[in-house]
Amino acid sequence: MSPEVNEQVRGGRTRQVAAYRDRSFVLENGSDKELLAAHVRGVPHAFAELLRRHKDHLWQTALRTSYSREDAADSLQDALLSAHRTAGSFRAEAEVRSWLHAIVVNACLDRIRRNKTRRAISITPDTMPEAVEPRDEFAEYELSTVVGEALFTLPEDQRLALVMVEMEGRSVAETAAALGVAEGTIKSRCSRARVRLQERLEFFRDPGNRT
Amino acid sequence: MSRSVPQPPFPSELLADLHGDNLAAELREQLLPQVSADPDALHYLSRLDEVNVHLRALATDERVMHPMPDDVADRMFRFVADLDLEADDGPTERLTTMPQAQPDGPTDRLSTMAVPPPPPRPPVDAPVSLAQYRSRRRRGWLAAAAASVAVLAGAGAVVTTLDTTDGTPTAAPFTEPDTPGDELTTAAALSALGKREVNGPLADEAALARCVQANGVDRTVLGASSITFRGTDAVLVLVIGPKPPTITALVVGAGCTTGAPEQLALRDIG
Repeated sequence: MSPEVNEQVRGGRTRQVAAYRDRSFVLENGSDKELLAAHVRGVPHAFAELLRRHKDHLWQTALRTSYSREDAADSLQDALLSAHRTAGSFRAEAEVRSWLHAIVVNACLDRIRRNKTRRAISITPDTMPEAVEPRDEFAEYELSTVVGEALFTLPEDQRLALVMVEMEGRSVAETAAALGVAEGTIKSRCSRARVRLQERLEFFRDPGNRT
Repeated sequence: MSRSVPQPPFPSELLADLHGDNLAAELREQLLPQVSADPDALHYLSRLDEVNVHLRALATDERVMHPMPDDVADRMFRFVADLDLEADDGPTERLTTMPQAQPDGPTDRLSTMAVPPPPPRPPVDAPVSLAQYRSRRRRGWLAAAAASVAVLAGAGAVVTTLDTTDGTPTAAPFTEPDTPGDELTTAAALSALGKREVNGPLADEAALARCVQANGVDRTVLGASSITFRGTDAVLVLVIGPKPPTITALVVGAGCTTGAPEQLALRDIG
């Protein structure tokens, strides 16, 4: 028997409502996929629970892939709208977080393309909050943390190119097309960015520079 | 050896361009033998490789270096709450395109469900624009907001009804009064939706939150605006209603705060 029932809603329309909507569904206990399925079936707050779980990761992704904090917030909101509306397109073989991550990245790129003529206030070390990761236990693997911080010391064009190519795994051609610039421009931005990050890493490798 | 070919020590930018495949093919071919014979250059190239390694490690790092700030989190959760509210207002795409799950089955059934061909929908690469959404959402709220106007226009009558009730309280009928109040126009009420145009103490978000809480409607604020109500300065606050898709319209005095709700009108609409 189908688990669906039709519920009369205002205006004489009907919609399908999952039978388990009326059952006890503890959002906190559901897997990401269960939550997304629940959201699709109309369970209230299921999508909000997904956001609660992944908000920091999604924000960090948006921040790294945007020119400004304002753009990051707007892009994240675009992405949430898209995910909320297109949840039914989610393919179960993917991880929900990866799906959301990709939507956020695409929303950021979309906003950059649309805002090409308008540049907001950039994310700079002055406008970025200090990273929460402590530095007192410095180790080689902590260099990733240093890199993560140093990303925001780069000119935003360089940061974005490097994030897309090295962190998001996009090809130079894809990145160039997404940002509407020549491939050589992306290569050049990535090269300059690597030089700057290497200098930063070299600085932190010197024990005399560690605090 | 051509003198045009750079010799060690190589500039870091040149090595970075070599590393990043950002040199003309001819120059690259000329440069590679020189670089391969230079330990310092090779060391530098390995350092650039390390940068990439660290970036890729960072991409898969579960640690969050920059958690979502409270103001952004507040905005996002409010936004999602609005979306849920809007979705509840009628059938949405998400209700019609998801494969049918088996609610009684184990979780892993979700991963083996046959996925039907998706109907036309906005691709992930082209998210619905926020501007479009805002426009639609605004339209979506118009009916309820318009209802709030009708109620608030007659709020004087509503308040009178409440003040003089001596029996079992009953909901006042939502009818236009015989002589609509002139304190709140339709345009003024609609302008509160999605706005924060409040003068005085309630301009502060925290103060507004305290006021809403003091009035027992501690829910998502949809808009707030200073108005003149019954001849005095007041603040109109629209919050999500107790049941979607209703709106609660609250009118308070400018000094509303904890312990002093200064409630002038309160109605659920929709």
